Amino acid sequence: MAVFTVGPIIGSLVISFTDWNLLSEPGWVGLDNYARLATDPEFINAVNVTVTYVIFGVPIFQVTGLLVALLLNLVLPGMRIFRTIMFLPTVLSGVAVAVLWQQLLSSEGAVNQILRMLGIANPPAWLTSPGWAIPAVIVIGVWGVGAGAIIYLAGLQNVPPQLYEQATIDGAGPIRTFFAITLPMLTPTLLFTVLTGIIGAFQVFDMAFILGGPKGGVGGSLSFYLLYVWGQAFGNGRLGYASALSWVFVIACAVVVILILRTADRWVFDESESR
Amino acid sequence: MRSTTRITAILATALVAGALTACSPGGSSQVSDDGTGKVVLWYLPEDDGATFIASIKEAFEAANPGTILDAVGVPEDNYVTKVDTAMLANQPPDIAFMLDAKWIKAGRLAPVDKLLSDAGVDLANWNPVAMSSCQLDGATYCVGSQQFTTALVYNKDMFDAAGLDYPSATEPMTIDEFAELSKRLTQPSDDPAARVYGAAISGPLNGMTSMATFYGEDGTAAIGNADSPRTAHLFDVLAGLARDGSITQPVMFANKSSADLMSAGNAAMTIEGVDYVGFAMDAADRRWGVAPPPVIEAGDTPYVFSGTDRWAMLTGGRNNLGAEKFLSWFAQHGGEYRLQLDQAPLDTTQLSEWAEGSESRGEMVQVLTLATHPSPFIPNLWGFTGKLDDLYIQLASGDKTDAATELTSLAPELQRQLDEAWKNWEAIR
Repeated sequence: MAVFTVGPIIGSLVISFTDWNLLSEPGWVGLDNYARLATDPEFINAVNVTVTYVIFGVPIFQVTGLLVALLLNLVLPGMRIFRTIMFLPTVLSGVAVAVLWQQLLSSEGAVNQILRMLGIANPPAWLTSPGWAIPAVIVIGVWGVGAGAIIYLAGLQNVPPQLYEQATIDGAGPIRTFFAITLPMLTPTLLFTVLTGIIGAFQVFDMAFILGGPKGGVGGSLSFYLLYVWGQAFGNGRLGYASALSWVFVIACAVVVILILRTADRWVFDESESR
Repeated sequence: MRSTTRITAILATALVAGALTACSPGGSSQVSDDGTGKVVLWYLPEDDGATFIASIKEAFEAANPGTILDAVGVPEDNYVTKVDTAMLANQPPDIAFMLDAKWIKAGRLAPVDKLLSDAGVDLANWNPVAMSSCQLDGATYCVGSQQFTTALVYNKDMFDAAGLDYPSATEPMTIDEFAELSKRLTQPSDDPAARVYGAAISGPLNGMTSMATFYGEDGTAAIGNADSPRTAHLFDVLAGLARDGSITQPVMFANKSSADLMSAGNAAMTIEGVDYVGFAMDAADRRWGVAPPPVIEAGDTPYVFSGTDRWAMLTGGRNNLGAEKFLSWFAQHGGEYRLQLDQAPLDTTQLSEWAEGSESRGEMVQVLTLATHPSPFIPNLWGFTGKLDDLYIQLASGDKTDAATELTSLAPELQRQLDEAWKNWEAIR
């Protein structure tokens, strides 16, 4: 365990202080790789792309997932089939999904054909216009909210029914009930899905690779952070710099996760405290 | 106690197996004093790589009893990383397809000039543009057998129908003449299946012009070249044609290739690999011709890109004598097997045999006489020059309109990355 997990972690930290290029003997460069980050416009672009996706994508995925879960929670005929269909994209390989959407979002793809039929003469160049690339990836992400919805559904079905009965007796309407009972009771689930959603959004790679290619799409519009790290390591042969990028990434992700966990006691309902 | 013994036995077995594996992994071969034994060769199995290797393996082994060619297909996606890793572990194959010039700079490939000379190969007969990718600082590091050439391929019937003369196979037209021709050959239609583009062009980088256009003759200056009025003119002309529908939008190539468009009759010209498009045109029973790609201004030296397969001997391989034996045999006979597969051989003295009976191939042989000026070597070129492609896509779609302004703004970033690429190149020891 130590050899295969801790070893590479320590190894990458050491490599981040070198100029190793796989072929030549590594030379010690101290903090140069870290200092270079501040002046590397492609690093800044990769951070912008990734953070933009996290900021806009994660809330949209959470809200959509929750709305889908509320629908799935209704007792209607055929709901089991609907639940299965919603969950289906989650079990597909990320590469297969990316290839599928690459076809759908191409200039002559089905999405633009439909938009043209609806009267939009010049539909977006989804994957080749820098302004539309991130929205396109978010649209694809929304298609795969089934996994989050299933987790929300489990949370919804754990809300004690007597709370809803009490709210009905007290005269609360559906909206009031949602904000006073459903949402607070779902906050532990929300914490889990937000954390895993943010971590997943930081880790986008295969989707960006397929849709934008190894260079990160037109104008770097799909140059997600991990794709950039990979390109530096295996495209440009800068293992030292790529290791420094990886360590900055790990630290940044850890800071975000710790911040969320630190604030969790203010907004996550803890059933044990209410007893 | 028994379980302790069992665990110890398993661990010992694993250690011994590991040690044996480390001594003879998949990429290694037997040490040999006379070149017999196994010669490990790594190749790219994509396209017809496996077919060609199979055809030469049998012949080489028959001509060299006792030497076995152990050919291993390594997919292109991670080929460079695999070779890098094998070199790092001091377990490289004996022969490998040379995909990255940094291996030469790092001293991992053996020069083959003497080997070629001893084999009686006259390098003057091998396409110099194709061979430039095998050479560094005057020395040759790999051996080829085929030449694949990028040129202007056109549909002769469409030229006849439009009452236009065929382009010259020896005198390139200018980019403005190419634009005029494209407009005259275009047949607009609301039905994509009936639409005819004057030309199927993915962009100004793909074989249309030498990299000297963007980075200077020595490949070190983006500023002054990528942002020059000549370059801006090239981008403006092509992007203007794409915007008015006279040539294809570059994004179309995500779904269709130029060979698809040409063979389906949806494009009258293209600048693409001649073998590739020619094969599709023949299969669709269409008459086609070949001409050099256009130049930016009249009087410019024509640029005809040619590539080749690049087989190199790795230093640190286990069977150097066997590797030398293979490369020597391959240098003398590789072209014959290309001819058997109906592919253009690298040796220009064999081209007439390949072109015999085909007017189109005859034109290609004429075009190949212009393949004399290689593009300058630029390390990690495709790591950053895609920004020019990105800009062209945006100009062609109308997202951006003024090539001169955009190139002026892009050039400093290209220069920064070019400088960094050269710095990293020099750091390879």
